[in-house]
Amino acid sequence: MTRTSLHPITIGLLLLVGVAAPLLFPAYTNQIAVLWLMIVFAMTWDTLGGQMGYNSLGNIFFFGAGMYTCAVVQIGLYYDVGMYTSGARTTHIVFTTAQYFTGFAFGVVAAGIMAAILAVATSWVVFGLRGPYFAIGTLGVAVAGAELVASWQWVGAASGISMPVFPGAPQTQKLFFYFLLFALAFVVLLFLRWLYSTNFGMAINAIRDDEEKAEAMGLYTRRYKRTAWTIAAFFLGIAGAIFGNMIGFIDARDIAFPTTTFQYFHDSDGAARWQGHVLGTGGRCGCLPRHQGGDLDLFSRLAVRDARPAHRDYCRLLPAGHRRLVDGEISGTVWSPCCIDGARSAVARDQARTTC
Amino acid sequence: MNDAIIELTNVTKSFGGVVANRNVSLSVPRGRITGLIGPNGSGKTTLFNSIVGYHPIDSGSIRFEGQEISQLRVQEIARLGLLRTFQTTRIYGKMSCLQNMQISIPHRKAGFFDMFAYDRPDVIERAEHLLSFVGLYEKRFLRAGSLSFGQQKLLEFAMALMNEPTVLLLDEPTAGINPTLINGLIDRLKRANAEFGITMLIIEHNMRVIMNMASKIYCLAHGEMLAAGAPEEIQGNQNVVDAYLGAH
Repeated sequence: MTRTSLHPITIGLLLLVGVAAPLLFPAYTNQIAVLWLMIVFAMTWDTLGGQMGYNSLGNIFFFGAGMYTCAVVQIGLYYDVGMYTSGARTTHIVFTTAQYFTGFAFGVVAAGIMAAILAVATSWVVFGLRGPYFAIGTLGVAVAGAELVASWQWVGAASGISMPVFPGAPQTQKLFFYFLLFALAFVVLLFLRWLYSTNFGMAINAIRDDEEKAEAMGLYTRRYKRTAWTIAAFFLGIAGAIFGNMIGFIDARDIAFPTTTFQYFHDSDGAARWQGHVLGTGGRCGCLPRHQGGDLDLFSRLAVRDARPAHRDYCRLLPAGHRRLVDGEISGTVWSPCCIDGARSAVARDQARTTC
Repeated sequence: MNDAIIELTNVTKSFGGVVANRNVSLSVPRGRITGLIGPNGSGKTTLFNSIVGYHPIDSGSIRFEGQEISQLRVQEIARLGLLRTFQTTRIYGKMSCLQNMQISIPHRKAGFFDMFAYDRPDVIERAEHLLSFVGLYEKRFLRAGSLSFGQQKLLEFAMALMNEPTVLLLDEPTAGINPTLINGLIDRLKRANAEFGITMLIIEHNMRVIMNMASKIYCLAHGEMLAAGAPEEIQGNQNVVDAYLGAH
C-alpha cells in the first residue's frame, strides 16, 4: 500500500539525482527532463487508474489544455492572440525578459486552473461511464479536444503556436525547464503521498476494489472520482504549460497522440508504488536506447501476465502505439527526444533526429 | 402499524416481460428482526435491491421512516441509515480488515474537506472494537481478500455495523458459512439488534436460523407475497410448505 510517508533518505536521494543528473549528463538534459515529465504523467495517471481503478485514456487532454492556456495567457498579456497566431502575420514579435517570465508565471498558474476547471466540467460526462466505457469516453474527450483546437483559428488551428522565445542561452533554457519539471515531479510525488495517507486514499482504493459496495455504504463516490480527476488535471495542466515552453512549439494533434502511453509508464498491476513510476518510467521511456523493442516486448508480456483482468486489455493495446513511436512514424511528439536510437529504420532515425 | 420503519406498498418490479415482484406489501417494525423467505427465484433479492435503490421500482411505494425513498439513489438511501449486505460477500479485498472498517464510517454528514482528513483515534478504536465483536481482531492487519469466505461475511457484517445503520438488510448472512460458525453468527446478529438497536430485515434459506431470530416472517413465491406472520404461523402454513416443496 502507499500509506507510509517517504523516508528522508529516499527524498534526499531523489533530490540528489534530480540536481546532479543534468550536471553529470549535460548533453541529455532535455531527455532527463522528459523523464521527469513521464513520471508526472505516471503519477497523475496512477491517481485514477492505479489507485481508483478508472483507466483514463484522456489525461493528455489536460496536458494539452495546459499548454494552450499558458500560451494564450503568455501571448495575450501583451499582444492580440489572433494576430500572433495568424498565418498572415508579417511582423516579428519579440518578448522582453520581463514579459516572458511574467507571462510564463501567469500562464503556468492559469494552465493548472483551466485544466482543473475543464476536469470538473468533463467529469459530469465521463463519470457516467465505467470500466472500458470510461476508457473509451476519456479517449474521446482527448481526441475531440485535439480536433476542436486544431480547427480553432484564434489559437493557430492546425498550424499550432510558436511559443514566445526563451530570453537566454540554450543551455540556460534547458536547465530552466529541466529544473521546473523536476520540481513539479517532486512536488507531485510528495503531494500524492500525503493525499494517499488521508481518507481520500482509502476511499479511492475502496472504489477500485468494489465501487458498488462503496456506494452501498454511502460513500460519496462521485465526489471522490471527480476530485481525483481534477487533481490529476491540475498537475497535468501545469506540466503542459512548462513543456510547451520547453519545446517551443505546440500543436493540438501531436499532443493528443500519447494517450494510451500514460498507462504504459505506470505499474502494470495497478499496485501503484512510487518506485514503479520513477524506475519504471526510466526503464521504459526510451532513455535506455537500442533495445527498446526488446524491452517493450518483455514489458508487454509481463504486463499482460501480471495485470489484473481490468488492465489486461489496455496493456495489450499499448505496444502497438509505442511501436509506432519507436519506429519514428510519429514525429514532433513529446516523445521524440527519446526516439533516435530506438528507431529501427534509417528514415525513422532521420525523422527522429530532425524533431529532436 | 405506526412503529413500522420500512413500509412497502404494492411494489412491482419487472425485467422486460418477467415480473420479479408483483404488488408486494410489507412492513418492518422498528427495533425488531424481520425475516424474508421464499424459494429460489421468488424475488427476495430483487425486493432488497429495490428497497436500497439498485432497482428502481415500476410502481408502488417504499417508505423509510416515513420518507418516500423509491426515487432516491443507492448512496442517498445508504446515508439515510438503510444499509444492506450482499448475498455474495462484498468487501474491499486489497485493503486490510482495519481499513475496510475505517472507510465504512457513516458518511451522512461528510463535507468536502472531510475527504482529506486523517482517521481519528476514536474511529480506529471503534473499528477494533467491532472487529473484536465479530472475532476478527487478530486478523485486523491482514488483507481482507485473504480471509476465508465465512470470515469475509463476518467482516462485511462488522463493516455494516461500523456505518451505524438504523436498518440493516442482510441477504443470506449464513450462506456458505461453516455450520459450526452459524450459531456464533446468530448470536452476533441478535446482539447487534439488542445492543445497538439496529432493525434487521433478513433473507435466509436456513429455516432454523430465521425461525430462531425473526419475530415476523414474510414469504414470497413467484414474486408475490404468499404469507406473513409469526414464525410458528409460517411453519404451519400449508401454502409456504407447498411453495418450498414445489406444489405451488
